[in-house]
Amino acid sequence: MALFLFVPFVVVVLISFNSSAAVQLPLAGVSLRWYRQVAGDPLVQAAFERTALAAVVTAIVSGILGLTAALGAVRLPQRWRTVVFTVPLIPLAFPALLYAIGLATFYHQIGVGFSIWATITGHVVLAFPFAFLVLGAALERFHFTLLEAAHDLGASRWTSFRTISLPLLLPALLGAMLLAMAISVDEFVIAFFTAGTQQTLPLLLYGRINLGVFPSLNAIGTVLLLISMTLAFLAARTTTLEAR
Amino acid sequence: MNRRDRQTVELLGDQRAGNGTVLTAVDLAHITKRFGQVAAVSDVCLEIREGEFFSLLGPSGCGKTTTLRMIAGFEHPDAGTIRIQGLDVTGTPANKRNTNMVFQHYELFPHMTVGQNVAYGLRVKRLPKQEIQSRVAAMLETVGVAGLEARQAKQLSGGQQQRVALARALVNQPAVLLLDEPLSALDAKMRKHVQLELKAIQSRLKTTFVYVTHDQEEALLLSDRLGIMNDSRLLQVGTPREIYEEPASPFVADFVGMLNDFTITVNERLDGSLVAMTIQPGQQIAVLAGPSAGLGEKLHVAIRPERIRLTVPDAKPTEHDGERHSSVMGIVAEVMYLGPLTNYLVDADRIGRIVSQQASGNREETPRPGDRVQLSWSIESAFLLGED
Repeated sequence: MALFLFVPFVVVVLISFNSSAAVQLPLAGVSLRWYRQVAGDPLVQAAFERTALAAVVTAIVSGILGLTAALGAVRLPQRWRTVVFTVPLIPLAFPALLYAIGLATFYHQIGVGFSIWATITGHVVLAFPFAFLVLGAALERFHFTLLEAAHDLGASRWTSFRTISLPLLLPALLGAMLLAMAISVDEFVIAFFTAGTQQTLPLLLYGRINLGVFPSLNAIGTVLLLISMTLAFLAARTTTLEAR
Repeated sequence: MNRRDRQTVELLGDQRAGNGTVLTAVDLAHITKRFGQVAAVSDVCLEIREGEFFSLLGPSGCGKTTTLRMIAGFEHPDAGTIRIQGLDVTGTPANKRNTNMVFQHYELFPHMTVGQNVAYGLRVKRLPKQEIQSRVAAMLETVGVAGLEARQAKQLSGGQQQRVALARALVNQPAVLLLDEPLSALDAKMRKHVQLELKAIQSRLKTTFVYVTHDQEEALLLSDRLGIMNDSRLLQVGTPREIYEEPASPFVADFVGMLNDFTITVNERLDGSLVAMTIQPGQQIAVLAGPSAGLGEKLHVAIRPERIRLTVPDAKPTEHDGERHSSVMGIVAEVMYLGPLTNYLVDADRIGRIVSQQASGNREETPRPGDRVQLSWSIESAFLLGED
């Protein structure tokens, strides 16, 4: 299992350092020429910027929405809480393709057209349940009596949120946002149907494969892999840090 | 007694306020609180005096914590009025009240240092930095954890956390300090130690303390006065001695300490309001019953175990200094050694199982199970139990 999981990644990464244009092992030699080529490509640069924009906006919006929703949900009676924390899992069972086509049709119908912002909206919808669940779990462990203590010491609702809730929930919030970023960065299907001409990095990669296979694609792939893995690692770390 | 009368009594009874006027720190008038269909607090009237250490004592679920939380402003009564130092605060939220709370699990802010925790209330009130710093340092000194400002709250021991929680509340100089079973998380030894310190701090600062506990020993030890609650009602308010020695109901009598209770059938009227059940010559249980008690009446009598003397029958006569005693014979069923004290469970003639508590004596002189002994007590130490 592990072999089939990791070998493809290793192959992709290794070939990105090949000094010849051949996509095969063993390497003819080791070089960074494909990385240099990719970095100088204005189309890649534009796609990279869009991917970064989508990731950051998705993270911020789903972080704020997730925190707000989770704060509301933990105050519900136990029976409703179970429902509210299960419903966000349902979209995970939906075929992403179906959702993407539906979203594209919807955008077309309401006449907003296709752009990176259409994609970002789709990413927020995709990432929100994850942010909500991460923050909901953190809030389940949160001692709400701490807020009572702050209130008792003269703090208003807003002051106690700012000085007690926010600092204590910050690791979970960061974790949720990093997770949202990781989801957005390598998302393909929604972007494919809604981005129009404003390609993200995964779309660019897909487009180029149709033109022929070069180690430069492996270089783009390696960069994507590195970003996703770093985000996922940071997300896991900050979320476990918060546990007290 | 109506409200005005009660206030007059308190004015006469309390001389602590120097200028002659006695302030009421907390005044609860006909407070009722329901959670759904359940009455948590029913029609509670209570005046807590300025500067006193007042305890609310009762079993869990009796409404004592809800009462405390209403004084704090975390809960609002469905009916009734709450006054703090004469000011009606019934609808005032917790952050606008001059009360501070020490929570059962301390609730120190885990992401702050001790200094930041204690300074929190003063910083919210935007006091000058200099003043905050000196007041925090002085308060940490008062509660006995001077110099711990820079420590993380999480790194403290249970006892230290307890003190920091106390400092965090007291540094705001509240009109009333509310304590919700603050010692329940400490181990027995530490608890005894902190109890005495708490009492010392209270007498030094003269702040009004309202202390919620289910531990009767703690309440009797610490309080100037205490109130006993059960099943959402306030049953009795008084000094520890009044509550212990003149309980108004069987529940109070039983809750504040171990109690013997038994029924006697009056078969003799003695002088005055004294009636007795004579079992045989030399064995008689007498009790002050008021003039109405007639022959044949059944009376519910109670007496504390430590008031019952236990002697070997033919050792010496039971009359002392002409004081009248009740006495009854019995057979020792069990001896329970508690260190400084020993409890004797005695099956007494006619009245059944009686516990007598004695200072532990020499092993040779100690009655053993099966020994026939005489139980005796002064008539004043027994009292009649009314209805709950």
